[in-house]
Amino acid sequence: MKKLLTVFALSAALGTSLFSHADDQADHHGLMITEAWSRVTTPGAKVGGGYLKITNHSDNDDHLESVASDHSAKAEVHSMVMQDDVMIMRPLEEGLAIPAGETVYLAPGGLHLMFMQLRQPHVVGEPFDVTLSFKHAGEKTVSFEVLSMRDSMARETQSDDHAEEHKH
Amino acid sequence: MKALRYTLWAAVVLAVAVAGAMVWTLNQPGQTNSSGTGAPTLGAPFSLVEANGEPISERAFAGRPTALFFGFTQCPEVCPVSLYEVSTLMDELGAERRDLQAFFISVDPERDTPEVLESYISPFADNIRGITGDLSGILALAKAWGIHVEKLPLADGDYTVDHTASVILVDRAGKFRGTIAYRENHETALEKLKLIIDL
Repeated sequence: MKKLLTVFALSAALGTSLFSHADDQADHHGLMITEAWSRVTTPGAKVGGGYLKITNHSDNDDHLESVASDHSAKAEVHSMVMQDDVMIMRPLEEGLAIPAGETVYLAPGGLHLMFMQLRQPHVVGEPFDVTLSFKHAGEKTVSFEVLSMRDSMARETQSDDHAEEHKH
Repeated sequence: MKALRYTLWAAVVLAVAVAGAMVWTLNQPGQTNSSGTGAPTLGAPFSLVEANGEPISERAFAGRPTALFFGFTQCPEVCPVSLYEVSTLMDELGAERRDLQAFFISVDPERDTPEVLESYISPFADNIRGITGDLSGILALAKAWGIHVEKLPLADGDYTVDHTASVILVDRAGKFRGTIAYRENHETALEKLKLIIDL
């Protein structure tokens, strides 16, 4: 009897641990969005930039199709490149591919979310919500931290480090 | 005595040449018109409007080391970061800043009225003045400094403006002395500003 109880207890424990493991997996299964931040906007600014890291833990390619923010009338994914010291910024008409098993960085100096026709400024310490619509993962609402210029410069260096890691 | 004077003059010429060459080799300009005195002369007379609504001309640059950069208020990264960087550099120069001045010139004057521009640069008002005005005048000024400006239509009647992001460095004599690239190393940028102040 005692043995049986142990087995029950064990299987219960095992079951729970398996279950909680499955729960953990659920968090990491689809898309994981982290390090979402935006730079403080200067008075009268009509646009703001948003940065984040999207990791696709699933076996399926996904696609960021649209972006919406309460703070702006319009939001898009943009690319930015410097060509011969000229800043060239373009909307990604087709959205952004998030390949299976990969991490896509939206970081200063490159891809970013562009918040346009700002209804209210981005104020340090006042996070705002952004809804990202993915082809497979559906809608994800993410809170964006607003950083001061000084902190955003420090964060940029970190993002650069991440980008370096990613290349290796 | 005469020999000594010549030697001193030679030393001065050499020092100026070395300083000039240092700035020069730090960054090659996009366009140059050689003036025959070492540093190229860029720029042109202009008649535009300052962010405070007052008229402004090339006379504002005369006799003072000047940092010029172009941008627009509907630019999410390069422009706010450049404003912050230039302003921070000027703060860091402290007393060494002397009469160094900086101007942020709008490449989107259609949307950047003096009021919009003044509000946008207000956090940096101690260090940076804004220039806007009529589009043809802005384009002529940009061209005179070798700045590429290209307006591109986007969906919904919106548009963006591709533009050279470098900061142009001009000495007291109005001569082009080099540029600070976007995201240039902070210490290097500081040294370049010191060079145009000392020239």
